[in-house]
Amino acid sequence: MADRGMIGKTFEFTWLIERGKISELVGAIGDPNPIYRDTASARQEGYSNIVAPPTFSTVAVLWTGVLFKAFEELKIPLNRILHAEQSYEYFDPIMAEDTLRGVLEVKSITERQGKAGSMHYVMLETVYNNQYDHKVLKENMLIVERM
Amino acid sequence: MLKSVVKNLTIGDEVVRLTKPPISKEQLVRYSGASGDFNPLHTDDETARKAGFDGVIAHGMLIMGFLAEAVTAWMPHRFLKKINVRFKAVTRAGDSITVIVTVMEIQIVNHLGRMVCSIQAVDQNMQVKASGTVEVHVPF
Repeated sequence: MADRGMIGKTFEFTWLIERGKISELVGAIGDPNPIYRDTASARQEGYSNIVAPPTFSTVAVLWTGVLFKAFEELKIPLNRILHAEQSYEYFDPIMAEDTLRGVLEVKSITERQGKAGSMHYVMLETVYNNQYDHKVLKENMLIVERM
Repeated sequence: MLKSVVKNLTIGDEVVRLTKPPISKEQLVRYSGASGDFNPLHTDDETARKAGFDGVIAHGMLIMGFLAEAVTAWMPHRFLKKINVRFKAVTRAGDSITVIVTVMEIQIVNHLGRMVCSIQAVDQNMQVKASGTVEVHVPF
């Protein structure tokens, strides 16, 4: 059961964006946009390097392990988790070879009664800055813990 | 050019309809590796059956990837300001997802066209798998 004492707890991490991870993700999605694969196409659209696709930052919280660390400290077993909602707010482009510094925060934990009994809703917010200390992205993930 | 595209839009216009090929089990393995989400519900039929599903289910984030692909096939990625999605139903291997983007709000202020659109991912039976909104800012 999610530990409400964890509200406000933050987890910091850094993530160097490799172009190979970008092409793996868009390859799995099947998104053919060349700005994710080809530097010249990205430059034509005004970027200085290959661009990260809109959902890319979630790769950072998974591959760095920070999300799993948060679930462990929250005492939420992985097999009880449902991903209910996801949102992104974009401030500046994220590109290959950028280094993101992320801060994941446990924003809220609320309990609701559903058809299947009591459920906990856990909101995790991650704010990302790049190597120039520009805020580039805010990501919110709403997780449901089934009791 | 985009200015005229935005100025000619009306509330309720469907601006994108993108049908993806059916989701394959191979695609789910690839998405697991690419994203770092190795939950076996997405790759192992037996685990998925024990959890009460018919077989492996797709990552919600793969469906959100389809939604983002559809939006950025219409408007350049750099104009995308916000995207919010609620996951409504599980998607199985073999399902074919269609993304539908519909204009909900248009505001033109000075040198900015601001649009809010509804986004929906539906399967071959029109069951809604994920829905939400996207906000796009087009500079004029």
